[in-house]
Amino acid sequence: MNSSVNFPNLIEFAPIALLVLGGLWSMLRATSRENKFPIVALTNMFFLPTILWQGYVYILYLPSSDCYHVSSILFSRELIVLFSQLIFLIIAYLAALNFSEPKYQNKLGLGEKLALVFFATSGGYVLLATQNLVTWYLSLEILAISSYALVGANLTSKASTEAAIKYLIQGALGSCLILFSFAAIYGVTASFDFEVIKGLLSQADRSVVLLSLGFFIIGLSLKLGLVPFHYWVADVYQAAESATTNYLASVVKFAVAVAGFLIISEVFIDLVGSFNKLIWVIIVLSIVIGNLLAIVQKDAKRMMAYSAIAHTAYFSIGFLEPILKVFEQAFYAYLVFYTILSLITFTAFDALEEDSGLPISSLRGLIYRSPFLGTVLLLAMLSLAGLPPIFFALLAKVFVLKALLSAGYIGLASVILLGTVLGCYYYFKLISLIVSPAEDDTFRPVYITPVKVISLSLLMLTLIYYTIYPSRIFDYLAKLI
Amino acid sequence: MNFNLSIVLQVLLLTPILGAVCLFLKAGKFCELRPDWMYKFVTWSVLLISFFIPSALLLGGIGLVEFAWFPSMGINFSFYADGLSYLAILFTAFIFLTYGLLNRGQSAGFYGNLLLIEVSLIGLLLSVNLLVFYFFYELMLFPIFYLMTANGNAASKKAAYQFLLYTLAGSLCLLLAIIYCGYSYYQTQGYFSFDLSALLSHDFSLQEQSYLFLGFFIAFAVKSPIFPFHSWLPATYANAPKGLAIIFAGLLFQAGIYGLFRFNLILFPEAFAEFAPVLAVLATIGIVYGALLAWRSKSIRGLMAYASISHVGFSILGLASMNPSGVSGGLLQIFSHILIAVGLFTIAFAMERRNSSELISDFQGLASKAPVFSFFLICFSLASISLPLTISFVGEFQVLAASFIKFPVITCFALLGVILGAVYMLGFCQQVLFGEPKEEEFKDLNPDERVVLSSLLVLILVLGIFPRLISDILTQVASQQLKQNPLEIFEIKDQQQKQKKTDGLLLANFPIAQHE
Repeated sequence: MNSSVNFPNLIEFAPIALLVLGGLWSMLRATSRENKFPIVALTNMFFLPTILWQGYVYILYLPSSDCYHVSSILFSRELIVLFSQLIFLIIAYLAALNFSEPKYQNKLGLGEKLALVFFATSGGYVLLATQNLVTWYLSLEILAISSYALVGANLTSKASTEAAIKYLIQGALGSCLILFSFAAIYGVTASFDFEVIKGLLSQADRSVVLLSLGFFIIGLSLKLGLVPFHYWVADVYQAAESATTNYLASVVKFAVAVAGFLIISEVFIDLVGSFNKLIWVIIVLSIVIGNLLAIVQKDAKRMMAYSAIAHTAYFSIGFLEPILKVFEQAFYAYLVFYTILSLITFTAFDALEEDSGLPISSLRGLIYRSPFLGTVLLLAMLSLAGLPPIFFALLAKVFVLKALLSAGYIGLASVILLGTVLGCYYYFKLISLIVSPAEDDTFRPVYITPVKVISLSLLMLTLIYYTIYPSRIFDYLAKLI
Repeated sequence: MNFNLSIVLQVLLLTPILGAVCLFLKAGKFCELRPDWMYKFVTWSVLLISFFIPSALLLGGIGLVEFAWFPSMGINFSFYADGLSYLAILFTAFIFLTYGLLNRGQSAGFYGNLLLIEVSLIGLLLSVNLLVFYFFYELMLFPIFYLMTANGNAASKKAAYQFLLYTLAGSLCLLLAIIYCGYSYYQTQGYFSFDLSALLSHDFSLQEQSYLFLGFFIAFAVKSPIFPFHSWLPATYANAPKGLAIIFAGLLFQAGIYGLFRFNLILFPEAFAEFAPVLAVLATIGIVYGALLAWRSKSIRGLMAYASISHVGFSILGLASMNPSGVSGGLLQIFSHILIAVGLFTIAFAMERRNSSELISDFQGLASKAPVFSFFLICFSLASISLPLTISFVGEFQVLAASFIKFPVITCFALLGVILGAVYMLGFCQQVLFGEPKEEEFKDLNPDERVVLSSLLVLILVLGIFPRLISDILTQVASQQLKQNPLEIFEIKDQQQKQKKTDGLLLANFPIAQHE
């Protein structure tokens, strides 16, 4: 174990330092009344170097596929971790760009919001790579507490405050369960280190270990918003500002899902089989209830919140033991696909939203009011429904179904297909609004900022690129794992 | 001149795609062009290009085009053209062309989505990789939904959802079955493949075959439609705006029957043999039930929608007979149905445009007002009830002759459909053409409609008089795919009677063979 800070070690800390620095700068900006530094410049200034740095580290480690730890307290340097961190930083950057929209400029606490985004991002960054239960928990809390505050940051809206409280209470419950689980693990193994725990768990008292894993799975479901722990999702997604919703639905979900997946596949891999039934029930409930409740929603953000529950369940099949062991790509492939689409959807919603909430009728005739935004949202909805022309969506689903069939979960595969049919109903409800001609009194052209055009085009081009060359992502993921 | 098949097929697929992209750009005001000219240009080019397929097949040799798309999953863009897909593409291109004549001056989005439907139909007729087939199979959903909702009223929106959900539920069963096919191949070979050629060499156990058969069957049964999966059809046909029922009734169903032939029959022959009696019964129910409902129908499009359920039943019955003669008859029935359904729906569309009424009872005594219209209505009605010398007679006769050998009792019931067909079609003609003329003016057909209907009629007659123009191709395809000699079905198990009976049956049942 090398404790001296030499060059490679500095590399590990630079992204975190940059992110925290960005957060501090935004807080400073919030306190000064004059000389407002443009938000978009601030975001670019700290995010872009972080992404470049991470990309550099990734390329640095790329030739050596064996993993090693720089220090036991901090980071795993497995390629898949570095890769997820890179993706995480990119999507966090794209989500953070939304805060520079003109409509947020005159609102209270813009600087603080950006600071919270920076802090949450640094928390998520550590969460993905950490090899220690305490750091894992702490970084999760940094991510979560920043998110609670972000949800409540729309100071003029009562709904936003209410949603923040709901989110706080249920998120805290999740944190408690996870903390309890970690405490129990420490109780039987006397260690927080993943490697050490993994070796000792098999000899430890089985009932305690199973109890702690059960708590962990339920805590994770609460954080991910799976049924029956989903009560906060719809309220929070609807009441928060769209930029915040975007951050929660894409960035936070990505970090928590990957981190949960990594900890289960690294530490609990031999035990998680005992909970297959529980996970199965959670997944089935999430698919059915998420899709059914989405159908009756009148608010587009709320509808997408329920759809997010269902999609979370689709990639959560990765937590089932046989898939966890053999078909990890299915989890990553679907997660990456869903994250991109969720970013596209909520970024587009952000351009449309005026006050809090976005009634679905405001999407009417979008393709005529703004051909670009309409087309992007149309393609996103078709992809979420798993239909061409963006075939990447279907390939990701094919991966999930292939994994399920190989593991013998034919019933679950059928449930996913049933969920897809239900899902198509409400996606097509939005699609039919988008393409139906706008009545004259509702015809308002939509203004999109260049920043949004660029980020949406980038995301769309990524999807199209991977539709044309699917091997480049799927095979690449297989190689990384 | 040597035409490379791969180039022909690529151009064939890319032309409508590029056309659709141009039209969408026009719809988004990114470029300037005349939408209906563009549509006409593209559909003409597709028709002309598809004529090159046979010469390319003859000269180029191999009929397989492959681009690796996702090799590690065994998904390749493999396209293959044989006689069946060639004919189907030719007919599809022709119908899209005629539809452009009937609907001038629509928006760019309208034409763009029509071209997307054309792409998806051509693509699925060509693709021999199951997942690529699925891609094209699903590609048509959004354009249809768009055309139904953006141009329609509340009823057509409701019908669009119904169509969408039915088709999706079916096609997701198809997806599950396709993935299982690939997985089953993986279990024996160690790598995934969704290529038809690879899967044909794979042995599925009978139990696997039955489940996979059902997965494929449900999807295609919804699309065709086969009783009892037909309930989306009347609503969709009755509410499709702007004469889109012409496209739906004339072209979409062929995807289902084509799929049943290309995948169910060829990939899972043993399961198909198991299910053949069930299929025959369902087809017969469809034939009789569709005919009965058509008889009682009060609206023009309702009548034609139920009539098409009845006609599609004959195709399925032909496939269920599982012998080259019946199968090729069933396939021939696809083309006869395309011509007749398009003709009849064009007439229905013309009637509705003139009188803005959908009820049969609102029309009376048109024979004296619109002689050309009446001529075409009579001709297409007679074709619809399979008068000899029309193409439908050939198909129906082949189907009934072949299925009688396998399912004599069921076929007798199916024959009822032929009689009922005459009852409802002639009843419809009598009501509309004769009797006391009503006060309202009824303009005779305009030049566009005359051109479309007469070209269809010429095809119906020419192919009815010289059926071997296409039936030879279809028989060859069917016997090739079934790996059976066309005459093999007539082999009787009893060796002693074999020679005598075969001669007798051959003479009785092979009117087409007599040309030789």
